Amino acid sequence: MKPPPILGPANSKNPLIPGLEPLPADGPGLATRIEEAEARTERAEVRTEEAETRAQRAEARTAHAETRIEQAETRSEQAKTRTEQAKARTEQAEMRTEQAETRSEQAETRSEQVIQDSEVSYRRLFEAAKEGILILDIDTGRIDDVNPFLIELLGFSRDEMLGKTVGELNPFKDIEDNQAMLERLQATGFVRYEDLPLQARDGRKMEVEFVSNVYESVGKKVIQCNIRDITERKRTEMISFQLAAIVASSDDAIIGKDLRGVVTSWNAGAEREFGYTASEMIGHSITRLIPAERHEEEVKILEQIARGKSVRNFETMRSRKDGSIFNVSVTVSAIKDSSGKVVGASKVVRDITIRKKAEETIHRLNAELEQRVTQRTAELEAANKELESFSYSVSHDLRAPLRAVDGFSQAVLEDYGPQLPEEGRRCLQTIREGAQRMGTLIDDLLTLSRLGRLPLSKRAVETGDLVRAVLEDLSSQREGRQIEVSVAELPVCQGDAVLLKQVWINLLSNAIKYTRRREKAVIEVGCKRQPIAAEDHAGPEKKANEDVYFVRDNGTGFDMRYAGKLFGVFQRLHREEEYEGTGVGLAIVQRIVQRHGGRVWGEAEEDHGATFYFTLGGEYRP
Amino acid sequence: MSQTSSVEILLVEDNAQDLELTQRALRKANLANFIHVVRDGPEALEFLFCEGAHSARKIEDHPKVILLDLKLSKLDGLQVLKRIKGDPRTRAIPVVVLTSSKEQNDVVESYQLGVNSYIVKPVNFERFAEAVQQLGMYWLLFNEAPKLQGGG
Repeated sequence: MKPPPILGPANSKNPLIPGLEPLPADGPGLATRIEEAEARTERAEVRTEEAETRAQRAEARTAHAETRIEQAETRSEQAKTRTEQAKARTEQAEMRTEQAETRSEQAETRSEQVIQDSEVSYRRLFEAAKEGILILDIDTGRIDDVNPFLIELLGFSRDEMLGKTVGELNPFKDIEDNQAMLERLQATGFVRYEDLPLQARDGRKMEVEFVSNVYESVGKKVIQCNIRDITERKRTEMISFQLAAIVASSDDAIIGKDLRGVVTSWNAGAEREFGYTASEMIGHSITRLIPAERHEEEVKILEQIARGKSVRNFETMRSRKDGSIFNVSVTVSAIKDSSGKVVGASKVVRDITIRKKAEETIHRLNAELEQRVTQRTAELEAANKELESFSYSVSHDLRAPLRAVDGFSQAVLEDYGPQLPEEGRRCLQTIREGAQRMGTLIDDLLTLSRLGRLPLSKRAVETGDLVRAVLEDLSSQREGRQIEVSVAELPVCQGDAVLLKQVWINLLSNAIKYTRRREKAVIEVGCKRQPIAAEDHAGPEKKANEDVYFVRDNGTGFDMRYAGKLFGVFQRLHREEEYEGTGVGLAIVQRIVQRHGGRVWGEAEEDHGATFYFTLGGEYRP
Repeated sequence: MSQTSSVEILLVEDNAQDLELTQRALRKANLANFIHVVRDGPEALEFLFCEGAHSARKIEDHPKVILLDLKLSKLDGLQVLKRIKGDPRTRAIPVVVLTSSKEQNDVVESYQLGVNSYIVKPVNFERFAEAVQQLGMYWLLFNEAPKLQGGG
């Protein structure tokens, strides 16, 4: 970089003072000349400076002037430009105005089209509406138009309705006076009847919502009445209302909750049961009701509910507001939205404290009963043992003296018979008979007692074979008699063959015995299968049959008034002189039949024979 | 009631009246000569096993038949029967049980213990006498008693 030029270097010419030459050094009169020269120089320098100053000023003025000229030129150009722009804008505005006019025309055209379209779609709606629509003349209230739905709903034809007022139409006869309605409509533009009862031509009753509006159609005011059948809605509302009332009035706590366990509804039952009010519970977690150690339960319940499964009668414990814990049965069901998604749960909580207590009582009573049964069984076993030893004792000890009575009477008769008068021998003989008879009574009693104690050994018994064998055994009793015995086909039964044989022996020997006075005895043995009589059976749904065996004879019979005594021990319906016997035979029959689970009964008419029936407790499905 | 060595019937009976009737029945059948009567269980066993008052007797010299009432004081008939049939020295002696009892248990048990015959004493004396005579006759006259095993 060159240093800036310094004014007046010693060896350069000053461009502003031409012709000035440096003076030679050391000449005559030199100092004066030098002084003169220096003065001239100084003057020259001052002039130079002055000139320079003037030049500068001139330059400055020139520059200023130039600037003003440029500015003026610029302004002039700008003015020209603005003028051009203004001209262009004017043209554009004119163009836009034309376009606007065009568009405006188009718009008007379109608007007319819309009106036309709207008429068409209104008509379509009118025809297809799923509610009844009436169009009324605003001045007369007469029906101008009726849509197909209303025709269908009411069962009146279009022609029957057109030109009439609403009030003149039978279904609407209960509606308020036509004129009054018209006036209200004209005043308010809107009339609405809720729950208007309506009867269709076929008598079908319904409830409708009847809404009338005044509106303008193509410059003309008309009344449009919309008639909506709300019968179903009302019914649903009623059901909802009833359900709500049921929930509200239920003694059970009914609680709604979401899937996080937050309570969403809370009925009065819940309030009673838990002590919390609805406002205290709604929005709070249900875990508040669950004892801490059972919180895990709720997690499981919610998991199950989320899978759409319900929880039925889950028995657990819950806590009340006052902290008390009680037994409950909980049923939780998933609440699903219309798409089937589980959105929450309804929970019915029932206080089962009383039931639990009752159950405990039942358990306790059962245990007591069990114990009592055990005790009674032991007592019975002891009694049975006692009875056994009693009958053992009877069979030995009671018979021994009888043997003595009989035996020594016989001894007297044998040894001293010839010395005794006839009457003495007869008396001894009577003593013997009495003793022997008592022996028979004891034997029969022991038999009866044994029948009650021996275990039954049941198996299939061929009744027919059994009866024929018994008749064979009884042949000695039939000797010298004319007896016609008929044995029908008899079914196989389940029973103890030895005991059943005793039944047949007793019944058949009775039949033989009590027909003794008939010249020709007729004995009939048979069996009929018949429905089990209601009073002998537990349930009406069980229709079962049973086999009823019978032995019928044409003998002496008996008086039905004493039929109740037939099966009593030592009970006799005939004098012993007429028909021998101890009066134990039928008691034995009854004991055996009852031990088989059956019944025995007799039917007779005095002197016209008797029939004895018995069953063995078996059942047969038809 | 002799203690001869030729006792043919041992009658074990505790009821005096039954005893008299039985003796009467046996007498009528001419079977009364060789009867030895004992009145209770222990007495029967003493006689049979030659103990106490009967120690002079020889056990081999046993009766031909024993008529045994079941209902005895001190030791009942079934227990006596058990001892007789449980001992090889007496096992072969025929035992006829005489009893009032028709109880099945008694009958079954008697047979299980090895009784040879069983008579239910009927109230009717004639039938009783008949039964006793037949039984006595059978065992004394027709039945060949087996040789007993020796013992002491």
